[in-house]
Amino acid sequence: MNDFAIEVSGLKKSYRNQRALNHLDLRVPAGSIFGFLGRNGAGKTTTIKILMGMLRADGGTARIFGMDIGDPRLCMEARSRIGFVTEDKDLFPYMTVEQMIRFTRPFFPRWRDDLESRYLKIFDLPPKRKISDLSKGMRSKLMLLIAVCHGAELLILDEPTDGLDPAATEEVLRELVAIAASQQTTIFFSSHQLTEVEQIADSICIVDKGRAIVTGVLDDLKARYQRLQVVLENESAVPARWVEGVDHVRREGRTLSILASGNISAIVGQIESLPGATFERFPVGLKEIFLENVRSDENALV
Amino acid sequence: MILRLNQSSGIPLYLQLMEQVKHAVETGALQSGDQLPTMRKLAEDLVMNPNTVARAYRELEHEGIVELKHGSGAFICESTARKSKVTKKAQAVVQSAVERLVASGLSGDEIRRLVENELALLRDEGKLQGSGS
Amino acid sequence: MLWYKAWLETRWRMLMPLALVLFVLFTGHNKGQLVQGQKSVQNALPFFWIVLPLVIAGGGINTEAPFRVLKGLNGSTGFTLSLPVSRFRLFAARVVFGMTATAGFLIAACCFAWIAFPEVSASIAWNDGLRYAATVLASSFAIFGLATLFATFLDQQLRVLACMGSIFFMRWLFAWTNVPEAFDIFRMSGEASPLITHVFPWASVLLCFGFGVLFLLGALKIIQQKAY
Repeated sequence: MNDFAIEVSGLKKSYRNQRALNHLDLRVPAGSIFGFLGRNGAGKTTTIKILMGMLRADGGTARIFGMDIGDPRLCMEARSRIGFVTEDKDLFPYMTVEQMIRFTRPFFPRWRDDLESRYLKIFDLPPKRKISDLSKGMRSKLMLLIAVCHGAELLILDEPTDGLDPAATEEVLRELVAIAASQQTTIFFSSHQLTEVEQIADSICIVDKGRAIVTGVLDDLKARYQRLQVVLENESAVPARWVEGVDHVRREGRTLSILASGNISAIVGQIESLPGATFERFPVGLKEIFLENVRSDENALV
Repeated sequence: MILRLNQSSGIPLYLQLMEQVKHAVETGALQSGDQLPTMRKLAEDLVMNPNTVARAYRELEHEGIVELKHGSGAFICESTARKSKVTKKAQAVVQSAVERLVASGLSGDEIRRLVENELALLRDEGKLQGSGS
Repeated sequence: MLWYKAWLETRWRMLMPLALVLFVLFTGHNKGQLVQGQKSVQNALPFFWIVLPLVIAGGGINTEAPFRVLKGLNGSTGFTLSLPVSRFRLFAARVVFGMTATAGFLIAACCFAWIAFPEVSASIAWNDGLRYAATVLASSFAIFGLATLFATFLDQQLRVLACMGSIFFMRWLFAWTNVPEAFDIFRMSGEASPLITHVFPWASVLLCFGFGVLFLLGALKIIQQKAY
């Protein structure tokens, strides 16, 4: 029994001279709900494709349930225990919902008929409708249904709520939470919706330009990060160098906005040493942590 | 018990959950012996991570506010009833302090910021008990 | 396997080449002239035994292209590859089905030609006809393999060009290196056709078959290299 459902180390992948993944490290604890965040093109889908066995990495290792998925046989075994929702939500467009489920069922001996009927009802999926006639959101839900019903221990979801309206999104999130609570399933999902991630994820990883730049338990990250708004007496009082822990500093006139990821008391000490400086502290949400880490800011002085 | 959590506030969800439970105890909405919803049910109802709920419950047990009985759930402790008397006294202290600050011309926001700054400073210096923000 | 259910859905792509074949046959049809009719049939059939496997190999592989993993996930690619099925099994299912479909159509077309051109079929012994069908099958198998190989890294239009180009190149190569007549697979459809020689060109047929297998193995190797 492994502590980590997914362990990725030094993963590298390039497409025609473009580095999609540049030494990516990732560890997803078993039983967690793990949010995988990043801008478009940061490497999220590439990582997921590699975990699915659709792509072969150029370097590094990836293990699922402790098995090295570089070995095709182990990769196939892993796939029997993982449920996927891909980015394009692609199923067979010419099949109906019913046919799709019937086609998939024989591949998974541990198919859960009870969950199948439950989700067909909750997600309101019409069994006789052709998949090409389904909206993107409904295809997402169908893929999720299939992923959950085959008794997966790990769900790897690429933008699972893409195309869903807020009510449907909440439904899906509630089901994910219920699955995590009852089946001890690990859920690894990528998303652009930071509020969703904040709502249900316990750990996150922010990836940018093919590297993991922030990883950790979400609550701990929020406790560590703080925003300090400093008002200086005059503009020249800006320190040349900041102590460790200051991530980004934005300046407008005499006001500095500092994003700190730790070592707060030392930073406060440095601020208090500046003549006439006053400051206030604010908690930091995931959106700020995300934006500050993936955006390059001309005004940033560190 | 009606709970409302703010995901994007930056304050960790487990802390918010703990705060709301403590608040419910202080106002008497929850009394000694009352049972909290199961972790799983609360996670589903609030659509939040079950591990986060578990952490909040564990911390509440650590602070002596709830007791986790194996198999039957989480119950508000007897001692919390006694704690609420202390809280009532504390409330009086806060009331008079705030009234004085208002009288000296400070706005509600200014007062709040002063208090938060002070608490944060004490927390960093390790002088604050528990995990309050 | 439930695979075949998916493939039933792609049958429209198959009916089209059949219609094409019928059209070609009809235009080559000349009721009065026996020899000319025979010649036209012989000219027409090679045309479509090249095109047909191309289209089927292309059509089958193109709609669902796990071979083209890098070039986007069109159709059911992502889902199919996420199933706990080995790549070899997916590949094999596709090859078997594609080749069976090709063979089926060719045989159907041959039978149709047999029936539609009675003056031609009267002049052909039925075992020669069978031999002819066998040579056609062998060469289309080779082309199917080639198309599959190219499908692993080329888009549809380029793929057709590549196949055509390769065939011409090989024809030239065979002529240039003076391959012994028995092995000249290109003669198989022309002068050495069983319809004329009344002999089964074993060497050429086996060579074609060999090429087909080689190309398919190549395709499989490439797929296994690109994905797990």
